Amino acid sequence: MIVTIGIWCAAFLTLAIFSFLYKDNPFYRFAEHLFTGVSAAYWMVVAFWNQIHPNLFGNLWWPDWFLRKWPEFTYVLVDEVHVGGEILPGNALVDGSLSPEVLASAELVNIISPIYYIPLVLGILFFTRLIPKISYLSRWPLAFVMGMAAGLRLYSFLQSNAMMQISSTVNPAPIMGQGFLAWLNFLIVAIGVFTGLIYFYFSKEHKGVFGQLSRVGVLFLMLSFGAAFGYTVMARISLLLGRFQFLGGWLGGIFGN
Amino acid sequence: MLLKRWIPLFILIFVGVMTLISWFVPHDPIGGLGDNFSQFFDIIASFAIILGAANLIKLQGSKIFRRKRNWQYSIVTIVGFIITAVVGINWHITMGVLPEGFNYIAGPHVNQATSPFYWIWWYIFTPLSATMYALLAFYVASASYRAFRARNLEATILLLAGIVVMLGRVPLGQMLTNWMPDAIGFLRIERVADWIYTYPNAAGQRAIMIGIALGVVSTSLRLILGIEKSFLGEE
Repeated sequence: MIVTIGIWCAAFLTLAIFSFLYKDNPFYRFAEHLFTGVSAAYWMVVAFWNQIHPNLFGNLWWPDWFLRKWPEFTYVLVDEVHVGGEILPGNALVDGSLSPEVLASAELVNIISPIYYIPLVLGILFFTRLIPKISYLSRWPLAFVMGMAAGLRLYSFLQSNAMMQISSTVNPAPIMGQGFLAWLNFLIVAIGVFTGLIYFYFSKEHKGVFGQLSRVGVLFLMLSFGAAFGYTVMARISLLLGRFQFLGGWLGGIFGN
Repeated sequence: MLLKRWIPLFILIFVGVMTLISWFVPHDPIGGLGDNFSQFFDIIASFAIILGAANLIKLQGSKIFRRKRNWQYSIVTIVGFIITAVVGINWHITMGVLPEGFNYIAGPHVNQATSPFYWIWWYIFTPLSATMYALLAFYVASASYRAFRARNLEATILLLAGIVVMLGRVPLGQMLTNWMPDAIGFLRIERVADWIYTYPNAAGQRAIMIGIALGVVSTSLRLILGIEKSFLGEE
């Protein structure tokens, strides 16, 4: 029954979205607004259970009574369960290996990392953005995120996206001993990268030889955009076929194939 | 001024420099600090997602409160949000009886077939997102009809590359050229599509990647050195 209701819901929502192809209408708007609400909650819930629950709450201090109150929630907060002389992982709270009587007498060890109060405070400070009077405090977590991103990306982009790509372009070692075609392809890639980079160099006017090289770069970029476009269209068409197959299955279910 | 300007600037520079150094000094305490920062980043980003959701509800709520145009649809957004959030956060809500051997476990419950959160994901979220993206196929087709006119050499190359790649990936396109003998088999459309993808496309992509990398490096340097302060609302 639940599955049948689900399939009808999915079919209705699919048709409601497709109805926009005719024109904007209340069914489309309903589906669009539902999607906004559901997806915001979906990502919020996923972020909570994947990051905040295990990685933040798991490193903070919790009182013993709380750890015992909801074991199905606190099993990730408990690092060790001491039963007699035995040390078990926190999962022992929920895997059914220990009886309630044994659990009641067991010692629950919650190893804390005080440094994790920093992301807790910074995370909470994000919400000051909703209070105009102190909204400037939300710059602190923002500064942390930007500093972290800058430090991470500076090296990783320089290493993988710049140096490695340049190395792959100019290093002929992988095609050593191969035929003329391999060398021709190697040359095409090298010329494409070099002229493409010339196109992106805006400190010099694109005139004369420099302008000609830049134009060759544009041709390579256009070819690249064309290929990317082709792949994007194919991906979208594949999604469209998936939806048509679903609707076909749904109609088949109604009319008995 | 201290709270609004100098503390965020200090946080940015300290975190940026420490993260950068941790690439080169993997030993504790700097290496460990880098790992912790990476984890903090994910946690704080999760709070930002929750803030985004709270902001959405605030905006939609104010739309309903002020009876703005089409405010009725905002109720749909808020109801959809609340139901999904409640069944996602409360791990005790299930549809029917839990199967033998299953337990209410917070976290993994969102992936259990008996969870209403999973039901919402499978029967509401997935069809809506897939159909939204599928809808773009029609608009991409109509946009390309307008944009893909072979008006000059650049547009022609874009058009040809797009067509060859698309045809090279479908059986119908491959049927067009599979009559070709092996001697000129390299001209078969799927092989040309592969070649375009592997060589000229890779060249263009690499040029773009290197350009982006240099841009990211310079922007990151500006941030770490405290030159770029636009996030503080300064020029």
